[in-house]
Amino acid sequence: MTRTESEAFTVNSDWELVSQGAEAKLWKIPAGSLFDVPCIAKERFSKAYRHPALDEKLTKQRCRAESRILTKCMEKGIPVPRVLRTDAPVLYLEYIDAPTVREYLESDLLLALTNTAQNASQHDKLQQLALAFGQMVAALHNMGIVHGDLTTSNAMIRLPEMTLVAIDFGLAKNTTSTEERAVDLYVLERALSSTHPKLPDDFWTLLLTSYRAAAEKAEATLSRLEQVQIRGRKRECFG
Amino acid sequence: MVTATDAPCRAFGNLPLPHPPLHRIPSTALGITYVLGIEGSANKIGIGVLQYDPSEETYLIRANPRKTYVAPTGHGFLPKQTAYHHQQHVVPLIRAALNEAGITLQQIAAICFTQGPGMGAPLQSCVIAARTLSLLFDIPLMGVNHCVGHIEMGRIACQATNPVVLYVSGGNTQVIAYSNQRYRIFGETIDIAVGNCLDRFARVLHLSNDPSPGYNIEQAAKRAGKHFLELPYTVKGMDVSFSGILTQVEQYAKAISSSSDFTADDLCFSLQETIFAMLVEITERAMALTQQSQVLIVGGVGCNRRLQDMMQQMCHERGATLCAMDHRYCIDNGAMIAQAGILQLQYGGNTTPLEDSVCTQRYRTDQVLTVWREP
Repeated sequence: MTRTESEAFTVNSDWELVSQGAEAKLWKIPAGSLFDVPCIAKERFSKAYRHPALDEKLTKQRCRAESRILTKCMEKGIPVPRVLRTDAPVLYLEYIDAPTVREYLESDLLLALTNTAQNASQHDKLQQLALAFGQMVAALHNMGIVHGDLTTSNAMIRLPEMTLVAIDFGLAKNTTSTEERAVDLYVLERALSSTHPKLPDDFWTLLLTSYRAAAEKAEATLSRLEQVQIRGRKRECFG
Repeated sequence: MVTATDAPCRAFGNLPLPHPPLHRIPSTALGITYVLGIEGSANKIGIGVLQYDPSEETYLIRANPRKTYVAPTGHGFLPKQTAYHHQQHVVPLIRAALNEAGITLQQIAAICFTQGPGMGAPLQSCVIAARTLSLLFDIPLMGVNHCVGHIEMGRIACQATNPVVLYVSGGNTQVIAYSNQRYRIFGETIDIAVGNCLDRFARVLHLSNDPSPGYNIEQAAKRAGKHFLELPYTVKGMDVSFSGILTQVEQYAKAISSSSDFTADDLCFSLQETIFAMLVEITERAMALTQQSQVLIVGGVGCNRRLQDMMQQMCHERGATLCAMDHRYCIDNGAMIAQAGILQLQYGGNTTPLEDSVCTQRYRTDQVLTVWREP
């Protein structure tokens, strides 16, 4: 399915700009315009602030890495968007009609937490989500993939079955290093606490428990995680 | 002992409040509040006198003298020498600040001091000065988080209501955004700080520590022939890592000879281009995540023009704004500690009892409950 060609990237009038992140624009392309199915064009744009050599290296490298790793995930049966075409710095991906975990948390779960009548069922949903998230990370790590940017914005959630679809693999790497896996978890822990300060404390504990059960080298990774946490927090020493 | 007397931060005229305070603590018959700020968490000791005028609801820096301990070339500043430096200068600086402001200690409503984070011995020296004054003149103490001092002075000086803050100094590298009464750390270094990386590379190249190693790297980078050497580029989510880059660039530095096709200046240039691009990238990621459109750079590395320019370009591309660089919040000084302290005082935050006035080397930005900001 993946092929690489070199065409200039042009935006058709029926494409819709759905979001502009820090490094890429996402265009939604309707079915029939480019592919039979609706898809997403992820255009990594050039950054004027970066040295041209660095800029070109990063945009292309990240686009190709993402394409390669998505393909690998797909082959191993991990739910990710299907790659339709790679044309660095543009990536054409299957369109997934689902909210991100962040949207899901902010719209539904955490708001409802204040409502005591619904509290118990919301708490169950949160637990399910934590378990699913831990399993998703473990599945990636078991395949030797480190995501590099695990946040609640970088996972989509199919409802009501609660399957998670990992997205945005621009910083992902093929690696078997314990350190890299530990940092991957550390990044997620920090993202959770900064983006969702109201998330209950047991969410992270539960996520780790589910990771421990599903990941192959869980013990080594989690003990390295403790070291990474200490190293990170020690950073507060100087003014 | 080499010390540099920095030009005092100019009082820029009255600065309006972010929003009207709930509590006012007048300390003179006219209702004007004065607080003293004592900062000495790294190699600078600064004393600030800050005035709050309730009739105009504005803050004014009345005095802000400062001294800097300059370590010998090829060395970093060590805790013992730095503490000794601060002990030598704290009393004359307080006298000078009060003289310049034209007030006496009896008019001071609170003594704000840096409680952390920072180097233990220098912090300790300043806390002892603060406690002594507190006991002698019966003035309440107010412990302040150093990072929050930078942020509050920056917000007030720039009239920035809710910026994403990039805090870059010799000991800290953090991307911070406000949410729910705390300054949350969205990204930070997972090993050494960006300023530490620059300082250590300056030592390898034997660049002078006067006025600062980072400044001399910046000047060297300007002389470079734009020869860009590839260095590791390490961004993990919104976190960054500099130790691998430092090792690589140090190895390049050792390989410099008459036959090599790059110079020490080229290395400074490449190092700056790489690490600043990483910082701008994580700032942009935090902006995208929090949907903010204002950036404030604080900390010593924030004085670097190249970093400012790159951030400006990023902001321009996003339709965001960058707050102008200003010494009042970029470089450690006493007034910024006074500013964070007076906010705490005015919004009903507790003063620090003597027995709690211990300083700590580790004090995370997100540990402070910012009572003066809306939940």
